[in-house]
Amino acid sequence: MDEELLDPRSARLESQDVGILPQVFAASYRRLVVQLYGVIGDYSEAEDAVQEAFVRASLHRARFEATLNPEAWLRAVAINVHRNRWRKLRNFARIRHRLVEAVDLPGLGETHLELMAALRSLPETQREVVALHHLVDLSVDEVADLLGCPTGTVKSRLARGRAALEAALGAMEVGADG
Amino acid sequence: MAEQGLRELARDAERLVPVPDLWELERRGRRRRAARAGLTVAALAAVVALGHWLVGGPFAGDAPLPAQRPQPNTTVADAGQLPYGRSRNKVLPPGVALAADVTYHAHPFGDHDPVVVRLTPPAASTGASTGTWTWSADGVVRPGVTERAGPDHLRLVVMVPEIVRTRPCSGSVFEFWESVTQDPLGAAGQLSSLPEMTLQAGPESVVAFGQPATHLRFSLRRDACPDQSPIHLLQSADDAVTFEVPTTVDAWFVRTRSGLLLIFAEHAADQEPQARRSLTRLVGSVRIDDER
Repeated sequence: MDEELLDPRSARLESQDVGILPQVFAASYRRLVVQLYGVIGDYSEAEDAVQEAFVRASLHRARFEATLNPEAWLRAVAINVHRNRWRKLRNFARIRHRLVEAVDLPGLGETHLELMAALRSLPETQREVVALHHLVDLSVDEVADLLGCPTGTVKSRLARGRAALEAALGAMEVGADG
Repeated sequence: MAEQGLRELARDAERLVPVPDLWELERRGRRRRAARAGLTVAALAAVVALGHWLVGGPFAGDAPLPAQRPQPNTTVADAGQLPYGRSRNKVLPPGVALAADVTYHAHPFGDHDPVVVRLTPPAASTGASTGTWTWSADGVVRPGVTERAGPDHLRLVVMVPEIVRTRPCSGSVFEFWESVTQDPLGAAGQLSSLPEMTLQAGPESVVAFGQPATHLRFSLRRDACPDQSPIHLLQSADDAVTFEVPTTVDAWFVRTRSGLLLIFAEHAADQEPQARRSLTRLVGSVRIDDER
């Protein structure tokens, strides 16, 4: 018991009204990282973006707690964090692929790794809508709302993205067989 | 097939994601924001100090000019270990002799242990209080040498970068900046994406100073800023780093236990081989004490 009280986390829980953030963190952190992993295609960057979203939730706790859907708020913030960061680094992005390969989630099975590789091969705009619709399970309207683009655009990107994803997976199978 | 695979991925991958400590995340976020706030306060203090200096400073009476004011005794030479002070205007022996080892503590912002760096600077180098060593390419120590490399000077800077200026030509310190990411590759990317610089090599993963590092080389053109003013690129907890143009910089980002360390060596394209050798020797002497 004494040891528990000496733990700064315990002390903090007792001394402050921490609100819903710890519960949301426990329930949604892993799910959000996987969702952003699909959207971004890089586990390490997905982890960064989601962690930054939780930091912002902590700093703007009143606004965060007023939202009807905290997980959706965090997802939107994480996607914006990634987009803003990437926009600033777009010059660097042109050469980045020469330096590092995208990071995958450690422990992921071979089938899932192939799927992630295929997903990464899509243009960013298509990958976003495919991941948000099929992996996050958002409707077309919700994807359009989140990305700030017309529903028709989402539908066309989704159709092209699905076709490209199937083609990429097919090419991988042919490569593996051959 | 792919749609089903994505649903399975969402289900299976979730359990593999390690969960960090929420409060540690929050602390890190607060530290980053505190660094930004600190810069704003420092800028305000600088404006107030400048105003005070203009009103009651050298223009008001017989106060000494900046170059005549006592300098902090922070250089190796000033510490009495070496024969060449910063204002004696003496010529160094051929080869630009190196001094004894010095230990520099690079302090990150906030309550963190410093990064301990050992190096052997040229005997006649100036600076060191802020992790900056500057010396003349021709071995002559001139009065009034600033802690800024110029056409005939070389410079090595050791710092824990906190802020990168996104508009390096702007005179305003109240905007156009962002925190330096703690990932060496990401930090190198932040620098390389600035429009004022020309990336000449890298960023690439290397081993430097006994540590894994990310190296890049960039140059800053004479016309980088409209008025050819010094370029403000980086800010540490101690000092801002500015560049006179044109110049070429080799930069290494190293992740240490206490934070991201940046070491950059600055030189002009047309410098003498002997001067370049002194810079190479200094870079080669750098060792980082980072017990993990």
